[in-house]
Amino acid sequence: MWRNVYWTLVAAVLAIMAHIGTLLFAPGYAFEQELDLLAKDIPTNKFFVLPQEAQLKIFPEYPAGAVFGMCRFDLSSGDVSLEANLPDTLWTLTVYTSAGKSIYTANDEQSGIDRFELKLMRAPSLLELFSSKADEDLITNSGWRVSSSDTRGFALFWVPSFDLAMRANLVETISKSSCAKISS
Amino acid sequence: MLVRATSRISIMVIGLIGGWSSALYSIDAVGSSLISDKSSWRKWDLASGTSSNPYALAHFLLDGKIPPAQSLFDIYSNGRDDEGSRFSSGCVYSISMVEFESRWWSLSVTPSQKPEADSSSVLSSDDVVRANDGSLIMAISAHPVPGNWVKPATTGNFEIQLLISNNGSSDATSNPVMPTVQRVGC
Repeated sequence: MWRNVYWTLVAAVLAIMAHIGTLLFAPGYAFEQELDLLAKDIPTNKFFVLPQEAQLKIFPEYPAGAVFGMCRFDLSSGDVSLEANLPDTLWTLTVYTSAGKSIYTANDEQSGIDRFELKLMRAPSLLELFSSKADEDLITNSGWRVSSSDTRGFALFWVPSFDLAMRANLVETISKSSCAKISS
Repeated sequence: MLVRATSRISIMVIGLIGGWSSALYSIDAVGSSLISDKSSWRKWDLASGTSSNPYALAHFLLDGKIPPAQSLFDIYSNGRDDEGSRFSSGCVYSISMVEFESRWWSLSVTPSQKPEADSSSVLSSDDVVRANDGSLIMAISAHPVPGNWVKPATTGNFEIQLLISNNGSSDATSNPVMPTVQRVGC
């Protein structure tokens, strides 16, 4: 009797672990594999405009004329600077963790400017938080500074275009953006 | 001894498969919710910190798509017409709506199964022709239709996705009047 109850509980615990694992880890892992495949030649900490083939696959809800600029960042060896050069039109910026969770957003109305620098930083660990002095505390996630607890992720710009003919000009403008590790 | 070990392993495998399949089943049911009892439009809840957020995220990421940030966009999907029948590429549908109070929106038609590259068709607020009163009508049809026309890229059942830019301040933007979708013929 108790043996049956025990193994039923084991099955239930495994079911809960599989449920949580499928939701929390499988999607991020599957997406990273997909992104690796679609942008396999692009190194981290480098800005690039998403190739149209990859764009249509990742963003089927957006017209083909839209432009997506991306920087896959890795903060494990230091902060990263993202210098944005965007057209004077509607645009959005979203910073995602490697698991696809958005941690920072901005658009042209909120920012008021089309050229800016965004500093991407690793969030301090609990130990670092407790060991730092009060006056060393940094204001994070404000202004043009984003701190992420995940060392890997990506920043994504989106700019719609009114027709396909405009796309080349938009690509030219956005391509002037850059993303690079900040040398210490 | 061998029988007992086999039954224990079976129980564990059943637990793992049960947990995995329940997660996949729950993704659509928990990650999105009907906007009203009378509508078949579902809104995806991508807001951080909500219990439905991991399910909604998984819906997009498992398909290899990047989920839009909810502070910038609201995303809705619909797999059935106003009569409750599933959308089929063999039929013609008429979508009627009044213009959203947003800066930009898009309406895309994607296959119900996992979409392949180039398998979506999209109309955006930049493309459509509106009536003088701001209302607009779009047609979904495999064959050309005058006016605003979206062609399903593949045969079979499909879903409509509506992406609406969201400035986070307007009630009209966060609770838009959703389009009606009527089947015209098959």
